[in-house]
Amino acid sequence: MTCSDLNPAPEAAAFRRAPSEVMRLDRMGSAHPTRLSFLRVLLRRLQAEGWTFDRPVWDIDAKGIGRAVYRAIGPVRTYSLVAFAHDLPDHMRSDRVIATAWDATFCLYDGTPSETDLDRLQANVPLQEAGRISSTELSLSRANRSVRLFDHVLERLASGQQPDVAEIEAVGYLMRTTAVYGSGKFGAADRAAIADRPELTGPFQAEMLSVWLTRSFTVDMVEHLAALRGGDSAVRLDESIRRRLGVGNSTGLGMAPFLVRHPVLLNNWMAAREEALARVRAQPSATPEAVTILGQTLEKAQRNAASWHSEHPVQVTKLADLRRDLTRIEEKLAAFPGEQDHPWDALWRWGGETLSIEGQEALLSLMLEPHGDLIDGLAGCMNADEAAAFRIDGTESVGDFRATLGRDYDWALNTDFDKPQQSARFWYVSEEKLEPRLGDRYAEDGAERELPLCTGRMAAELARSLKGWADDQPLAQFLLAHPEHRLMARRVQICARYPYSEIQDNLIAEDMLPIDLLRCKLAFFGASHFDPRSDRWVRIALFQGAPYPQDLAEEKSL
Amino acid sequence: MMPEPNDPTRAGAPVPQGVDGQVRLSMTELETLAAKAARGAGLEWGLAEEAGVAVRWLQARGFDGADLLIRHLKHNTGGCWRDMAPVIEKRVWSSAGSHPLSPITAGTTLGDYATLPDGLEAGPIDLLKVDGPGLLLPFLSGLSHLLGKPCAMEWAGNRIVVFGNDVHSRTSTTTDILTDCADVRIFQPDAANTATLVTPRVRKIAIDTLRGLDALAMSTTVPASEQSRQGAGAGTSDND
Repeated sequence: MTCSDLNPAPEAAAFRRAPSEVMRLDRMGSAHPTRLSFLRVLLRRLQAEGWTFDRPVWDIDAKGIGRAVYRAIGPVRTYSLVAFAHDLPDHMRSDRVIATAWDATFCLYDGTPSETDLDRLQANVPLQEAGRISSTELSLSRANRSVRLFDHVLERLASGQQPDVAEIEAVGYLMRTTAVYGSGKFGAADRAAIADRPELTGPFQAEMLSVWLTRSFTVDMVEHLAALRGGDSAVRLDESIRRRLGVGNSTGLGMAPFLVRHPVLLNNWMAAREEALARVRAQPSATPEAVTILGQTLEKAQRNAASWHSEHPVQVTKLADLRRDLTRIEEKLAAFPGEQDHPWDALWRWGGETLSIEGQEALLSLMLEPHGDLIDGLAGCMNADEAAAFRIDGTESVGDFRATLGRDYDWALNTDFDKPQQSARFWYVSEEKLEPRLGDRYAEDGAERELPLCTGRMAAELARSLKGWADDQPLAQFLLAHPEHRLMARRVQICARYPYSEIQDNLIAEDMLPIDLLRCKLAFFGASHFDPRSDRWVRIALFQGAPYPQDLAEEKSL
Repeated sequence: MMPEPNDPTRAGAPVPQGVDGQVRLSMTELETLAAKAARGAGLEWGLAEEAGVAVRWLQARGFDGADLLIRHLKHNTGGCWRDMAPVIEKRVWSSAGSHPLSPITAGTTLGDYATLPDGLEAGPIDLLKVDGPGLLLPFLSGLSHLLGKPCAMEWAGNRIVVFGNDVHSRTSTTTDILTDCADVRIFQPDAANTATLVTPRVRKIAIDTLRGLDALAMSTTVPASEQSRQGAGAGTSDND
């Protein structure tokens, strides 16, 4: 990590988990959001810097069609969510990335948009991928209503009643986004152009801001339509119910390759979280305040687990594990911290012996929560200068390189990729929709156009080609003779410097679950209620229980 | 298949054409597209990545990197990339066969060898018959960053010096001189440099260049089948 020289807690090193334990799909696929998740980082910064918020434009008609602008005004810069509300017939409502119409479309504008800007955006943003945005836009997104909940809330509010809490809990959001594009997509500002702004240096901060402001829009929309329908008898949402609403997100395979394609970034996310856990474990004692917060956080986690539903068999099992394990943790905490030295480490080791992987990763999140002062600064280490890590060191000797490969990729070198079940899948981009998909190598055409995401097999092939090369030859010479290994050689050198950069599992195995990749990434975003709809498609919620812009300044813990 | 202008989730970039027949891509889009096009033309993935980074560097500094790349790729879509890699003999690098040298492969290899005995640090290098010297510029920048000194290339009476991310040239850097096939000498010039600094400005790209890159990028994709369609999406109603 880039911040290692400044580490104020060097004693934590002895408590760090090894990449071989952390970088496994089953564990990554059990990740829980933590206080280092990107939406938490965003809210803490907005509060600490005293950002203010307003809604200078609300031009939505009685049918719910029109446009609105939500501004976030910071000490130096202002960002505006520009929202367009549409009238979408039910038969056109699809969460697929290939949909062509939505209930609402959005972009995050860099500054305060003029009428001219709004007109330009109105001609493009509602088209999403088919339109074109510019370097003054930082993200592009869209959302569909949860028809069931939106209609329920609308009817209730219009008739002067609050919605049924059970209905709110069952869905958790009024609208769900089906894609949030940032970083240079469709003409938007390149990440490199904005990455030096402190508020956008951290990963996905523009996207998180966009989604958080979208949440306000969804509530404003339903209250607006209820007022129009119910007139004087209509009421607004109760504060406590409003809090329970987040923004949904529906996402599929398209997100999965990201973690593989951004190894340095993945390392920095993982390394920050692991350093946080290690620092907590390294604490010689537990303060009464921390123990109190731990207990409160556990209660919240139990409520969250109770309202977390899924019909997917994998997730049903995990949820059962989670609920059982949270109960075990509750029992364990009755005598915590006791008299023992390093009680957090003892708690962690107890978890490793007692809990499922799902429960262990939940415990990680719980243990981080009381330790903001100790770990929140690590959020500043979660971005990555990927360009700086791109260069291959051709002077490395084949001997050293081979040793590194053997050390860091033993998980791959010991896999027999000639077995059909170990190479059953292949990742590719579909010509039809230009979206990433996962094919069956032995039943579908196209494997010759496979994407280089089969890291394990590429490592094994690289090792095979290295046989016969003398230890003292430079890597440059090998790569000149074997350009087909260049991509993997780069990864191997990156992994030597960034130990959490590589997922140590076979990404083309028959039993590989893409949703494990999705869950890891979404947990770093701060997603809750991970709900797979297939082995490669999920719904989640963001910002559930979080404050709204108008509540942010008063919020006690973020 | 060429992507439709309105094709969602495009990995390439069919964008609306400006009145001047030019389009503006973000640097992210351009880098991704260039890498896919290079891969589509048959370069290995690791070299295709280098091509993407190189084109981005050029385009951000006022050179039409996208055009340089598509010209180079179109010369060589037959898949003879291995024959266009350098064979290193003392200070002279030439291609293995009768083909010219690929500036992508040659540039990448210059970077890999930089501080090795056969590399630039040890002395000037002559690259014989480079297919488009302009594409070497980003790699010279990489060398300059690594060695902490200016790096220069000279060919057919032209000389360009790169120091870090700055480009200096005495003559105007027209497309012709950047794309000609030429013998190129790479060396570390004396520190004194009186040439004009080329002012960086992001170049738009011509719609035909974009179409060319898109067409090559499309050849990295796989046609749809019933099975592939089934795997995408939740398979349940979203109207809930």
